[in-house]
Amino acid sequence: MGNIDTMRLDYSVRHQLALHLPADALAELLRRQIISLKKTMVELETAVQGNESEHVVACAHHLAGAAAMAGFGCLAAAARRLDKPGELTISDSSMDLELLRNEWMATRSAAEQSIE
Amino acid sequence: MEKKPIFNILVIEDEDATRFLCETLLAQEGYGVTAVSFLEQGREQLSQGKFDLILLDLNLPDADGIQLAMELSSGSDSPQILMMTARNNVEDRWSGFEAGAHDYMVKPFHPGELLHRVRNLADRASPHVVDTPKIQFPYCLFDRDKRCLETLGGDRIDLTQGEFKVLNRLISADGHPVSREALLADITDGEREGNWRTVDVLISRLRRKLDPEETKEKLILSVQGFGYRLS
Repeated sequence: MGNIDTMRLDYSVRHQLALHLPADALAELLRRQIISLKKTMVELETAVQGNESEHVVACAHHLAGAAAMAGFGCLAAAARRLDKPGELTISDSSMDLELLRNEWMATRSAAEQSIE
Repeated sequence: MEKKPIFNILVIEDEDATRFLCETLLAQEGYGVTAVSFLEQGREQLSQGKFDLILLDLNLPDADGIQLAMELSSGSDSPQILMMTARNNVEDRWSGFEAGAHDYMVKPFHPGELLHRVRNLADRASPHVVDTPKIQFPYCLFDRDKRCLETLGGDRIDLTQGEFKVLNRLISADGHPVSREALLADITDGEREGNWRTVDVLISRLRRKLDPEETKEKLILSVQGFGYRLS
């Protein structure tokens, strides 16, 4: 696990899950967490392209919750910056969107390495 | 072993991984669990069966969970409702309770927190569960009321408080694995004092007491790196 970006994975969350779940269920949970986040990121990008700001907010809310549950703190924080119901305008959020994309790339890579 | 009546929980959560986590944690604790992603699917389940508790996500794709909580709390014999959400401001929490939630849990949550809250609600509910007072094992009978075992020959084998709690929890889990941490929490009334070795020692003593004839058939199985389950 030498090259895993541990800053993006909160291993205390993984440890707590391991105390309560058998190894096969934990592996399945991690697999589902990554798939679920991937799906929501795709949905968010589609909403950005369609300039649907409320849908972007809904996706960001979903991402923030799912990422926090998985112990992906940096990704959750980046998603929360876009979780602004009634306030978000896509044109003014390009930096936050870029931050989210970068965090997603880094987190996904670290998470996938951690379950290999 | 006699089958224990089930405390039924309906999980309504659209995020796949969180739904899987709740479903797995609760099922291995011995609860009957049905899990769905949409509010409408939840309504359909509620129309088909009796649930003792609903684990309800607030932010669902087809509707707000608050709506369902309000509908349910206005009826008689309504199930307990545990709301879960990433919304954590005072107004959101208050509106959850006003809608009829019995408890409110903010994401992210610790697996132990979920189990603790559900256990509290299950204890508080007037359950449809009728605990079976006596449970038959191959070589003895577990008498929950007297907190002891009885051999086939009628001899009484006393259980310590810790042994009773561990055995009771394993029986409640209905063959699903129970983590050492959960067993330790039971023994220490949630304080988690001591260490896992305490659990291992109690299991070892229980194995001997459950098999007084020393047939060496293991009734309590180890789940490697996790805990124990009944065979």
